[in-house]
Amino acid sequence: MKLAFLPFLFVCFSCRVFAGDLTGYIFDKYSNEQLVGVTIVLDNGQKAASSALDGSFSFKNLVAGSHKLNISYIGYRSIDTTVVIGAENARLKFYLEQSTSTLSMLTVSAKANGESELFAKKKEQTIENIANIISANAISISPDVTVANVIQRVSGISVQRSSYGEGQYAIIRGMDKKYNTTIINGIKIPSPDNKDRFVPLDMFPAELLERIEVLKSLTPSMEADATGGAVNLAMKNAPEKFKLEANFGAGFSQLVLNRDFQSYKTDNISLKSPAELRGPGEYALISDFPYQNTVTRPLKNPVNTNYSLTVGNRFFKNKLGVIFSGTNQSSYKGSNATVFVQTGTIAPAATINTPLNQTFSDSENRQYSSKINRLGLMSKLDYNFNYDNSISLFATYLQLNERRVRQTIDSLLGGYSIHDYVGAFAVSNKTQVRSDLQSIYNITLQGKNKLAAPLSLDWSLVASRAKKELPDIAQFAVAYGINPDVAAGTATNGPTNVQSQTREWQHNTDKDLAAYLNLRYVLPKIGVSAPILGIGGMVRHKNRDNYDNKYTLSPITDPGSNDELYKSIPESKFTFIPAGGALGNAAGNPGIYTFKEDIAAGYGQVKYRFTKRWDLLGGLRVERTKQSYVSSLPVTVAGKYGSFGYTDFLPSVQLKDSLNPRRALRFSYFRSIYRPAYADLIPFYDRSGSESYATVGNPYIKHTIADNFDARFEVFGQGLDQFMVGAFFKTLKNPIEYVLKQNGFAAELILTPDNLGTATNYGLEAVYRKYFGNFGVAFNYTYTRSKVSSIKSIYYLSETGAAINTTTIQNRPQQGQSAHIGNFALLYKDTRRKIDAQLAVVYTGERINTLSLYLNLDNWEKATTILDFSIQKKFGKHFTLYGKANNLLNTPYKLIIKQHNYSYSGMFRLPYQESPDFVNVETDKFYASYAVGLRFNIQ
Amino acid sequence: MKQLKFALLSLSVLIYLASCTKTTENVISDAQIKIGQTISGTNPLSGSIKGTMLANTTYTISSTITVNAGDTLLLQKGVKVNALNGSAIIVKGTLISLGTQEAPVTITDPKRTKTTGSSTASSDSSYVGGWGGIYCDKTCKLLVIKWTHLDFGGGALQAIPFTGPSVGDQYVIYFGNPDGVFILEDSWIYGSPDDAVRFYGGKVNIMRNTLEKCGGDGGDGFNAKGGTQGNMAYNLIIGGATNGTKSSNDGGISPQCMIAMYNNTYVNDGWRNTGAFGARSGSLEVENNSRALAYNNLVVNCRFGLRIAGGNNVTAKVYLADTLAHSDGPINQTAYGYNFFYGDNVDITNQFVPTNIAQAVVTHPQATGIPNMAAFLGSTYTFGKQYDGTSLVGKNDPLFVNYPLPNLNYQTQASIDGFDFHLKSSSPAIGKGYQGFAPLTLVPVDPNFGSSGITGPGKDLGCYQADGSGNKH
Repeated sequence: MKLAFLPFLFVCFSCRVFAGDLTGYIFDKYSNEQLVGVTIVLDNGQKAASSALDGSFSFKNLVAGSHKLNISYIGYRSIDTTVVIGAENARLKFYLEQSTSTLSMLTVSAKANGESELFAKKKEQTIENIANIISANAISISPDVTVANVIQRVSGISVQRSSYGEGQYAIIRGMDKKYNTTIINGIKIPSPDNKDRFVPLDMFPAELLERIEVLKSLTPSMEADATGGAVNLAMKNAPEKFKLEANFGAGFSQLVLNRDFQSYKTDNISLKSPAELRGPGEYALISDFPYQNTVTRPLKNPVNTNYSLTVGNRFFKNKLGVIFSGTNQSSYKGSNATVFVQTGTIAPAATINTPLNQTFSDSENRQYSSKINRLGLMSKLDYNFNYDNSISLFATYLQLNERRVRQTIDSLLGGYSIHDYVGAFAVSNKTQVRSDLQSIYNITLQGKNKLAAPLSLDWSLVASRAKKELPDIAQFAVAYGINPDVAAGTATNGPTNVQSQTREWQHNTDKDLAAYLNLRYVLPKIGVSAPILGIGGMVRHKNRDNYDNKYTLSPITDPGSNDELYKSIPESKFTFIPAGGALGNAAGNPGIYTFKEDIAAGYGQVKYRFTKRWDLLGGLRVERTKQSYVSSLPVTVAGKYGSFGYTDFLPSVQLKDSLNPRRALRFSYFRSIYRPAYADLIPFYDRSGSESYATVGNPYIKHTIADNFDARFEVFGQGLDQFMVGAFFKTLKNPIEYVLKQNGFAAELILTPDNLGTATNYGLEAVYRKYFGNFGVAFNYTYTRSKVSSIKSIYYLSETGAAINTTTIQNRPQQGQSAHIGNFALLYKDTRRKIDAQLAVVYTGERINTLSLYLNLDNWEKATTILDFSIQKKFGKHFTLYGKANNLLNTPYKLIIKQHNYSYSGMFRLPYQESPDFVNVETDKFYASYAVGLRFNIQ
Repeated sequence: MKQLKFALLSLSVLIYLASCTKTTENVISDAQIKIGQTISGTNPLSGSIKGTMLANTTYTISSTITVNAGDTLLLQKGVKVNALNGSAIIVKGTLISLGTQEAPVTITDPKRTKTTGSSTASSDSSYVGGWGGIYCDKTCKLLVIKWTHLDFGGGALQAIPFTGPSVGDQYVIYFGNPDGVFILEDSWIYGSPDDAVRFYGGKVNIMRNTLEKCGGDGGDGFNAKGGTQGNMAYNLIIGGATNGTKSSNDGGISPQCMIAMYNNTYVNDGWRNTGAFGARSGSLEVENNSRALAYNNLVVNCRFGLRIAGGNNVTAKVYLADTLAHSDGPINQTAYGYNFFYGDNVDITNQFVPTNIAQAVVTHPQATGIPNMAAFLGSTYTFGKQYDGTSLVGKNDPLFVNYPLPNLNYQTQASIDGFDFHLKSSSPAIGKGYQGFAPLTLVPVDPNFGSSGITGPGKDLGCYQADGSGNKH
């Protein structure tokens, strides 16, 4: 660095005979990587170019003689030079030098552009873990607006979608969402979910991020409950100099052009249930349940909007850095779904070897209309006292509000058929309105101090809160009978009557207080490098409360009749039968509980380059878990309260063999755990999660312990080129999976978690990215195979004809795990015309969606191929126009049961059936969505 | 001689009385020795309870009482229990209620009164549970209820008493031990919001009872699920929301659900089921892989006749009754016949043999019944098909002692009031009974700890027999 001006090296390596063209390549001086998007100005602005994806640029038909070149790139020192163009074409190489010191994990303020793709790639190369990293720049040119949508393009990751078709949860290498954690700047955040620990990734607007890191192996300093991996959201940092970014976008969903979008009034919705407002033991009045929010009204062609603003700067001789970023997305989405409701009990098979056959009680056509508001705010202040000491304060608030209308036409299937289709015997029209209000805030105070030359430390103090409210989930229903004339093939409908109405309030809050401390001590050099010892630990105290109360309002029958004839929603009259129903079911509702969790962890590790090629990071982590809950179950039922405690010893080692500066081999082993979700432990009877079955927790399950092995070979090529191939193997003791069981004596089936022996999960991953001039391809593929032994029921007739319920062990893949997942993207980057375009395909192979109690009747999600497209063009220095189109193929979500399909042909057909070999039990369509927008940028 | 005769007579009377007295005392004291305490009626009862409620004493229950596992609660004749505040009786041990014909036991919610005449789900508070009902855990080995009035039970459970029932369940009796014995004899159940009796298993004898106004806008009289075997016979069931008697192997709990339903009288049942699953049946139902015998029943103005549920492979096969022949007993094959149907409306007569509309049906029309549905529908009839029953309306009046037919109030007349459903001697139901089958004998016969007597099939159809046997009410 002492040589302040070492402008460039100049090499001519080609001497072919063409006249007047200048072609050049631009590299990073130290890494020899090609730089993309570098600005090259010829002769003080007469011509300009920028380097393409392979780092190249060219000027055609230049006059022979000297030309001035100015080469500039953010984060690098500019080059001013003169080139001589002769009769022959010139091919030149330029090497730019970074304006700051090399990257380091310990760098307090990342002065390099942490949002660039190159940074991401470099981080991927230097990080200790097995990781995949996506930069903010890659996100901004992608078709995605939320983290969940971005992450599905990462190797090994598939997503689970919400009822409006947006990605919500990540499944990492076949490991269900519950096995993965979400961390912000390395700090774990609580979940607003009412049952579980996983954080819905669609809460995070992509615009707040500097990059996303998917860490697939764990080091001793990381929390150990990330068996599948940890998704680290690195939020924006204060820039080096003044920065302003603004974005305005608008769009629409195809769905709302095809049919009306349904909305409802929210001003009558009480955030608290009548029981909470009136106090314990006080009866609610019917007037506490206003009808207004159950009245839906169509909204014509609503427009999706997206605003965001980021401002940042540094002050006081760059000591104080400030950044603020805010974004507000509002969208109207939905889906049209057809669902065949599966009966809880099935008929016995003729023999023990005859396949069981799932039957259906109802056919439901559901139309979802979801208005989604996503607000994200973040701010970070950092202050560098001196080179050795710095402090930062980070705060974020994330909010995701979904206002959803679900209109269901529920046909109760009869025993007859008309025109060869199963006929309905009664039809209920149900309107459910649901407000799902989720928020997370997090405040983190972090400091980094160098105490002495070899000893440094960093610490964090964290307060977070996640909250979810479902105020007044209201369902209004009417029904009528159908009287068919089978011979004539016609039917007459009976009178439409008011049905019982349900109103439910749920809310939960999860508060975390945590402290982290990491100490590093650099030992004297032994051999080729100085080992770095690390010790540290963390504590976290979690407090969680859950509330649930549901009311059922019965219609008041007309005089002399057993029904209330339906006239309109406002005219429908209700009462509580019995009168005690006015208390709701809160008195004995196990959904009301408090949960406490204390985690204390300590670790010791050593980081050491023991030969010129081999890096080692290894150590031991110890985590102590203490949990307790108190539920509102009566004392007469087992599981009213419980406490759990266990200590885990979690060794890990990461080895890296740097074959050469571009190639490396990595090996990793770590032991990880999975703590059961809160609701997994509590015998909480909850119908809100699954549409078909209630879920009930199981306090007797044990936590899962996993051993994870990884190997990866990686090649970091020119520019953004990349090739990786890896293998992984995981073995899980006591994996927790939801199984369908009978609820006590009742015939009703419930979903309940259980430990299922030992599970294995292994597979292969490959990533390939290569640019050819303006074009690039990015490809990744993951093969996963997992095995869980599960207990399945067989209901059959014995030789004497007795109906027998028995069980068998069936090996199956883990829930949510696809054997094949892959991404393919075609990239176009014309740096001269400043156009970026991307056509991206996500393939998710078939996977188990829902488990059945019975042998071979699991519900599988069919393979999907989703196509998205995005394009952007930069105008001038500050403006970028972009367009995004998602789900262009209108890829449906389909659930099937792999059994002989009696409803495919013959007398008793059901609609939407595709094959005699499987039954389509659910088909959801989301349709495409489109957006255009303008970004403004000063930096 | 005369003196000797008198002496002998006196002696025999004395011996007889002594033996009677001795038997009664012995049996009760034998059982009560373990109980060992008299329950005082002075203060309201709540919490754990065991011992004996003394004859002709009035007790008040202020909140839910529990008979713990191993304990017994005995109600002697004439006991009156006023259960307040929706309190329930939780039985983890044994409950025995021994009313007599002269001095029945009554368990009621004193805030409720019985009403006569027109009754609908929201106009009549009989369908709103009062006291909580009797909930028996799987540790309950014996539940005996004789000559007992259970009025206004089925108040919604406010808390789960044990694993099984849910908050809000509204049964008068919940029994859930497949290995336990449950005797309900010569008793009355008046008013319930849901099923009067829900069985999740048990050896049962449900005999000679009277049910009025059971089920608000849904619910059966006697609803037996998987694990339940026994008799439902000589019951009078009037104004039930859905079925009077039902067998269903839901849950597939062992043993398979098998019920002998015979000599019951069903009047005006099946008219209040307005739920989504409404109006699929409304007198006798055999479904979901259960086996049953259904003979000698008298069905008047019920929404549906005897339904043997059928199915196809797509929709309702789950409800298919077990109609195959087996050898594992106690009922080897579902069988039925000699049932009597009367209807005052074509909607009723169209469903004497239920059709496939609601769900698939495999009831075969029988030649032994009244009317002869096999002859009426002809040999070409396929079970489950719709037919025109217009010509059956008002035919075959069973001639009740006091319930003149036609009576078009069948949807709202849900209680006996002043009517009398005994048969006139000229009734076409007299002498038509089939006695060629045996009842199930799975429960002990004992005056106190078992059945008072398992009455076999009767000579006459319905619950009242011309010879005075059958239902004694």
